Amino acid sequence: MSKPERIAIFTKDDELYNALSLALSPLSPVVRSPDSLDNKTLALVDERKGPAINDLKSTLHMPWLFWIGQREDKEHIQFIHEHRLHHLIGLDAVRTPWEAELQIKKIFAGKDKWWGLKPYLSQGTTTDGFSLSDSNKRGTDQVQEILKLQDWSEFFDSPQEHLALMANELVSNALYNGPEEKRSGSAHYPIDRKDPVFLRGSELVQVNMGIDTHAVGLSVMDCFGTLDWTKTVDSLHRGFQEKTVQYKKGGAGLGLYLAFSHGNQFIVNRRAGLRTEVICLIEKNRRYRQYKGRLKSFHFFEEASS
Amino acid sequence: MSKLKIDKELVDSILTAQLAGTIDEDADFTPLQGLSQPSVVFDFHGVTMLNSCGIREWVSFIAKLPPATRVTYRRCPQIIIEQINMVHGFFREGAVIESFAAPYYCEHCDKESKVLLKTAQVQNRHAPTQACPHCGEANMEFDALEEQYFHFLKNQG
Repeated sequence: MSKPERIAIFTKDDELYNALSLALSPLSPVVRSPDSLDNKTLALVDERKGPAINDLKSTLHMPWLFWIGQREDKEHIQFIHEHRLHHLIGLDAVRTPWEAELQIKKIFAGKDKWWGLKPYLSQGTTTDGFSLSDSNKRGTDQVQEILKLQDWSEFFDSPQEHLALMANELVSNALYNGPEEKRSGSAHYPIDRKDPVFLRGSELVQVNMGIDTHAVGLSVMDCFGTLDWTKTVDSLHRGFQEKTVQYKKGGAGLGLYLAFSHGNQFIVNRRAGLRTEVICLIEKNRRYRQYKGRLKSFHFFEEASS
Repeated sequence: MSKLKIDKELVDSILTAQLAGTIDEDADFTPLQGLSQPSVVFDFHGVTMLNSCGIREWVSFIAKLPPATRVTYRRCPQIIIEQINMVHGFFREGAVIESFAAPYYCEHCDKESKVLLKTAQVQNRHAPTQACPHCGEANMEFDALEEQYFHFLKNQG
């Protein structure tokens, strides 16, 4: 799919429109609430002060749609699930323009520039990382070492604990779910999480972390590409609806839900059958209350099969 | 290999189990199996992580305790409280949550504090007033969303 030729912003909030327009106009011409939409337009829809919700639903077929939501996280996941949305920005008075700019820039940059933390961290930001090829300790010690290297002075007191947990869940999923699903072609033969796993040949799980002036980013990338939109959103949806562990061989079925819930922005990049990357951002914040009060965002970038 | 350490102490027929480290898929609760004491206190102060598989291991473990055993949860860290607010089943029905950590923020000295609260101090999901341990300011601000953070107390008498 080629790139969008214009950006249409649907909002009645002048302040938000001005901020978004300023942030996005370097990427493409920006228009406000046009009467008609075509398949070359990227639509950014603010449900809060936009037209009636039923009218907005006419945008749901758009190939590039970024929905700005103001409901509870559980309702947002339900909405994503129901309408197969790929991008939902949890409304935040300060951060929405910044987030929209970062995520929409990826669409314009092209898929070869989607990967890694680079699209999310300021130019020149140093990242630290490591690779895993087996399940021994699941990278827990390496994550702790990286966490010690970072400057947390502009964060609330406990982002390290959240990041350690998110890394643990995402690394376990990558090590245990990815290879088996790729080799067997299904998720029906899961490996017990107590059993050791050894990846083959050049197969690796890569973990990276970095902090810039806006956020700390965690990236966990595998070379399997089996985590698709349906599995991701079904898993988040089940987590929010049921909030219970699953008693089955394999994981407890809550890893993605917990990783999503402990971050501010949850991003998946996928190239089918080749690699999947899950990125979690926690925005810089001195107040734990603001971190928890921030509506979470979801973004799924899928490379079309060539 | 289990990254969870369990120390037990028996005083006046009350068994206190101090847990430290990570509760994950490898957590080994064997030292606590077959407990016959009428009252068991689980002290979570040293627990640094509780992942999704760890919650499953824990739920399976407490389900095997005799129904008549009186269970108390003591000194639950903030990261544990967050997890149990997100996932059902960590607290056994009828168990008592004695104390837990809660985040406070001092506007005066710009510092965050984790305060150990007794459950009885929280009335109608309102955080009690706390003085700043750093500067002495009398009234720190509770630094979480009360309805969300105290959700786990909904079944406590």
